[in-house]
Amino acid sequence: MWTGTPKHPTGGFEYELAHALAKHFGLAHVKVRVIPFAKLVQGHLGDADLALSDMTPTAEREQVLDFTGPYLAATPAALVRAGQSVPDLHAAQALTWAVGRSTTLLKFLNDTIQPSSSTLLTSSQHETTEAVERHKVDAGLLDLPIASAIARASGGKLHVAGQFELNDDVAAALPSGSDNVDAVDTAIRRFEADGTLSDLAQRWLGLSVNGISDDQVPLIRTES
Amino acid sequence: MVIAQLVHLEAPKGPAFPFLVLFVVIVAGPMIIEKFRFPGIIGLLLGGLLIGPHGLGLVGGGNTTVPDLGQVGLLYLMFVAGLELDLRMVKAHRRATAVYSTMTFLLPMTFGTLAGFAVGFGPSAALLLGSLLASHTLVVYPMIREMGKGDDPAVATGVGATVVTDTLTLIVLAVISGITVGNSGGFEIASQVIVGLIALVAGCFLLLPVFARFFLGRFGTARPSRYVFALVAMLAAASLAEVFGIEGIVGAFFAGLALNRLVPNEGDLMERIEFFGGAVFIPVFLVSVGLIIDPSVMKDPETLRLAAIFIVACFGGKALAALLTRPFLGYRWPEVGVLFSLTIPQAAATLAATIVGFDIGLFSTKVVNAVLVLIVVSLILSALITPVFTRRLAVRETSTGQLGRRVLLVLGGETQLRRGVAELAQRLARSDDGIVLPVVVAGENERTDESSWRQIEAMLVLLGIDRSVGVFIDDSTAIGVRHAARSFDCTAVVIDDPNGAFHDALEDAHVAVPILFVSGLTSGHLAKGRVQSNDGERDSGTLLDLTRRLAGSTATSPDEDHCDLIVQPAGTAEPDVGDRDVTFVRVLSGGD
Repeated sequence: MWTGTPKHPTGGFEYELAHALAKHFGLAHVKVRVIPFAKLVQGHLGDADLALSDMTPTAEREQVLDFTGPYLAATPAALVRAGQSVPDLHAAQALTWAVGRSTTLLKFLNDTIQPSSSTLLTSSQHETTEAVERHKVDAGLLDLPIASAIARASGGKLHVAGQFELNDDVAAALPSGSDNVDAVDTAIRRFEADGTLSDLAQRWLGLSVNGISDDQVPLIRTES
Repeated sequence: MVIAQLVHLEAPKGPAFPFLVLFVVIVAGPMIIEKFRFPGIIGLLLGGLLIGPHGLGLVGGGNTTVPDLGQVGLLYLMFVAGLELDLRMVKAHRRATAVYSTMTFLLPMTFGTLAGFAVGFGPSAALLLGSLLASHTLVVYPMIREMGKGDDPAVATGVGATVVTDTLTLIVLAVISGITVGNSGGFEIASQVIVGLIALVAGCFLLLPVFARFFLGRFGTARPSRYVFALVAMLAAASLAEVFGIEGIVGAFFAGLALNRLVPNEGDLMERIEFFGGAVFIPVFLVSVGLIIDPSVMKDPETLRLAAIFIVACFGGKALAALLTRPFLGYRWPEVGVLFSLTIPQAAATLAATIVGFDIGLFSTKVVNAVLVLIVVSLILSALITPVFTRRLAVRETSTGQLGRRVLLVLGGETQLRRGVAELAQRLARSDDGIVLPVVVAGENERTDESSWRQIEAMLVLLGIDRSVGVFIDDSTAIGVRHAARSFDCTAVVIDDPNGAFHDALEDAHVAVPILFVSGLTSGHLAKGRVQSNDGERDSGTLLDLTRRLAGSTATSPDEDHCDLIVQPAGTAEPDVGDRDVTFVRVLSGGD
């Protein structure tokens, strides 16, 4: 996540993480490249050395990308409009959902939540959020850190109604065969140990690094 | 097909399956690898690799249960290392230990640090690498002990050096970890680590023994409680260390050292600690290490290059330290070889420091894999060369015999064991680094008070005698003592005999080992004053030997008026000592 424009980024969790990595490796600049998520997961990073894009490592993605260890826990979360609640799986199944089409969340929605009505597939987190705000759907399925940050920025219009049980950590992705994987992986472990990651998560996402937010998002159980 | 249509089958979701796979590896891994004459530890590491995310994926990368349990296993490993160290041996050879410890820590530390700088590490990572290469684990010590050379001065020196090198390694780890993880300046971190170490030392070496004596004295008869107390002590010390930003393994190691005397190596509690450690905790740790082995990285030329550099630095430093014992300590070549083989195995402390270095982002996966290569090579090499050098060690003449190796402590069926008698038996056993075996002996028609045995066990635990009280019911007490001595393969028998009943019953008996009848001792506590051998004209070697052993660090005296303990032959009368609290030991010499 980052704020501002590609030419003039102003902050955000992953933008600051990229800065911390650059500083760790003695690099002077961080360049932001905006690449559609669907292309990223196919291994197209352009000239970027590193993708920090809430990406969960999967066997399929590991065939075209190399991943570091996780830098953030990201359980799936339900972003809804103020006043809406999702107390249990049964209620979640009755909602209409929006979810990113190339994400691991889509599989989770179909396999685990199994909504009774058709799902709106989106190309970005922005589209998912907009669909919820404009009443096109009842809820958007996003990673908890993202959903939490969006809810905080919405001025009370949106909130995170619940999170689902799924270990869906996100990791940095590098071009397949990159020589930098070991070094970036080691640096991320260092940031985890010295508190850099938790400071960034707290500041930009309102979360601790293991994904639990200050206001303790309720857990929606998916097993009977 | 029919079954599949009738029954809904699905992959196991709970923790049962990962644990099943884990314990299958723990059982099968060492068994299979030992068929190829490799140490079992390698089977566990390879088993972890096989089931892990880089192998069959049966325990996936997202699984935290096995790694968490592995972390507890790591604490356990360091705790047991502290418990097992023979502090008496370390003390007996302290000068040689001091000289050799300095060399075997500083040389590999220096070589390792330089190697770290050479491969591009920063100062913290290079120093941590140096310190972990300087540590070693006594993997081959049991092998040397089984070959009967455990008391060789060179072996004792190597064992003692383990205490020093591992403690220094863990202190370096604590400092480096604090500096790396903390956000404060170097001075603040150093201050915090120093304060933390002081708190840890105070907590482990001052408070913990007091708590342990209180707890074991009060609840010591319940064996599960004693074991759980040991676990609590380990976890509390680890937690205390972590409060100050020091790695938990430092606390666990210190807790082991602190309880070393209260948990004797041959005792029941140690047996349980070793059992659970050997069966569960330590294998789980080793398998969890195997989970992070990445073969694709291990066969990577860069990993192998790093491993080669680490091996040269570690083995070079250890070899040079062993060689320097020739001019400094006058050791001969076999002793140099044994020292080298004893101090090259890299396992517990090395692995612990490496994993911590990995977790805090100082070491990369390649470094971890290179260290694993070093560990495997060191284990194989040491297992191969240890017997070669150990066989060449000189056979040491034991002029004192082995009287204290297995001391049978006998009390009657209704007798309340006096603490002083148990202390005397312990003193005799310690003279040979032996053990005390408490046993109640009663004749067929005598009453026995079972409830008092449990109290006796609790009292013995506090003296470091951690053995269940055995019971021998025989035709008579005299026959019972002889049978018990033979059954337990004893080297000496100590009998609490306040009214001389055992003495009178056994006075003329033919026995294979010396029997010590203890009377007097009216206060029940053994004094630490002078000891006299009152042998009359017989000048028995056994009696003099026993007198010297029972004197321990105190003096022997020719004047019975100033003695607190008098050793005399069986069948002689106790001398008149007036109102003084004197302990009389009448000895029926073995083989008479």
